[in-house]
Order: sequence, then structure tokens, then C-alpha cells
Amino acid sequence: MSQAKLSRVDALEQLKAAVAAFVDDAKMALGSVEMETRRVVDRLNREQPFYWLQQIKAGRDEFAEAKASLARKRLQKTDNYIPDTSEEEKAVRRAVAKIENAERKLEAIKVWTRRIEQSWNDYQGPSGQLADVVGGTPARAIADLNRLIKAVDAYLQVQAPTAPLEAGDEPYREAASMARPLTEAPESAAENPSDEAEAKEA
Amino acid sequence: MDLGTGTARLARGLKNLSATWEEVKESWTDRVAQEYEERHILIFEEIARATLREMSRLGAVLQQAQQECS
Repeated sequence: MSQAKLSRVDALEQLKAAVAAFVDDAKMALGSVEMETRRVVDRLNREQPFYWLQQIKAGRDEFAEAKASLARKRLQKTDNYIPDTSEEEKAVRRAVAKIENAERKLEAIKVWTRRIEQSWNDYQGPSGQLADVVGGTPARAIADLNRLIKAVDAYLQVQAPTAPLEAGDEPYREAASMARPLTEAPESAAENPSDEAEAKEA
Repeated sequence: MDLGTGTARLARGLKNLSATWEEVKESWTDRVAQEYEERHILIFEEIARATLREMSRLGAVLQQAQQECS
């Protein structure tokens, strides 16, 4: 029969609080990553294409206008007068650049949507495992601690008449309440922990 | 909560859990403690670290995607 060694009875409660905080942190983190990813993907798939298509349309309008303006200016040319068309030519180049930039952005959206999908798939492996181990109500790690704490409490109650644990006592002792392995049924450990463990007073 | 805050929170939670476990196992030294460590603490640490790595990569991709497509 194995002997449990727990020299500080509040250690399990301390651990339980830390595990519970970790579970909360993990759930919040997983939720925030999913929300942020959905937000970015939604923006890339809905808002951004619409915006850049609008920019292409606007660029084409500006190009047509700039080309017409350039043509009009060139018509002013005579034998004695060569009009300065540099501003009109700049306007044409600006319009072309605007269209090309918008087209590049549309292509970038396709590329980055695929990259996000790949990164999301890579993330799904470990995050799915994390969601699994922190899932449940309570999480398995907390349920196991609850069972152990219950067993320790039951043991201490059995010991109370001979070994009172008063408030303010330094509760350092060896408790023998957790001899059952964690893999056994939850009810079994709390049934009669003192029967299965050998207590030794510190 | 944004992705960076979520990642930082998981990293902090893992750090706190590991520190608490190191403290607790000083006073809990039996087979059940060892089993608890193997069944839960080590699993938490391994999976959370792997998740943090992928969170970081995903976060960088999301950030760059927004820059490149805006």
C-alpha cells in the first residue's frame, strides 16, 4: 500500500487555484485568437475586395479623364506653340499606378487568405488539444484535485478527535489520504480514505 | 481582448502554473503527485507551449496580411 505524503494541507487548494486560473487564461486566449482570426479573414474576404474593386473603378475613371485631358492639351499644339503636357502625363501615370496598386492588393488578398488558412490549420493541432484538456466542467485536472481535496478532508475529519487541526495551527503533517491512483473512479477515493492509507503524524 | 493580449495571458497563466507546481511539489511528494504531474501539469506545459508557438506564427501572419492588403 502506498503512502501519501502531503506536508502542507493547503497545497492542493493552492494548486487548484493555479490550475483554475490557467484553465481560464487558456480559454480566454483560445477565444481571443479565434475572434481575431475571424475578424481579419472576414475583413479580407468581404471589405477589402470591395474597397479595392472600387479603387480600380475610380482609377479607370481617372485614367479616362487624364487621357482625355492630355489629348485636349496636345490638340493645342501649333507650329509656334508646343503645350506643356507634363501635368496631364503625370495624371495619367497616377491613374495607372492607382489601378495597378489596387490589382496588386486584390492578388495579395488571395495570397494572404491562403497563408492565413495554412497558419490556422497549423494552429488547430495544438490549440485543439489545449481546448480539450482545459474543457469540461470542471476540467479534468480540477476534478482530480477536487477528489483529492475531498479525500484529504475526509481523512482529517477521521483524525480530528486524536489530532485536532485548529485554526492557526501550522498544518504541516503527513497526510495519507491519497493512496488511490488518479485513474480510479472518483467516488472510490473519498469513500474511506483512512482505510486505504497509512497516516503518520508529523 | 486581441490576439496579443490573449497570447500574453496564456503565457502568464502557464508561467504561474509552473511556478505554483514547483512550490506545491515541495510539500506533496507521493506517487499521486507524480501521477498528477504526468497526467496534467506536463501535458498542460507541453500543449500550451506548442499552442503559444502557433499563436505567435498565426499572429504574425494576420498582422502582415492586414498590412499587405490594406
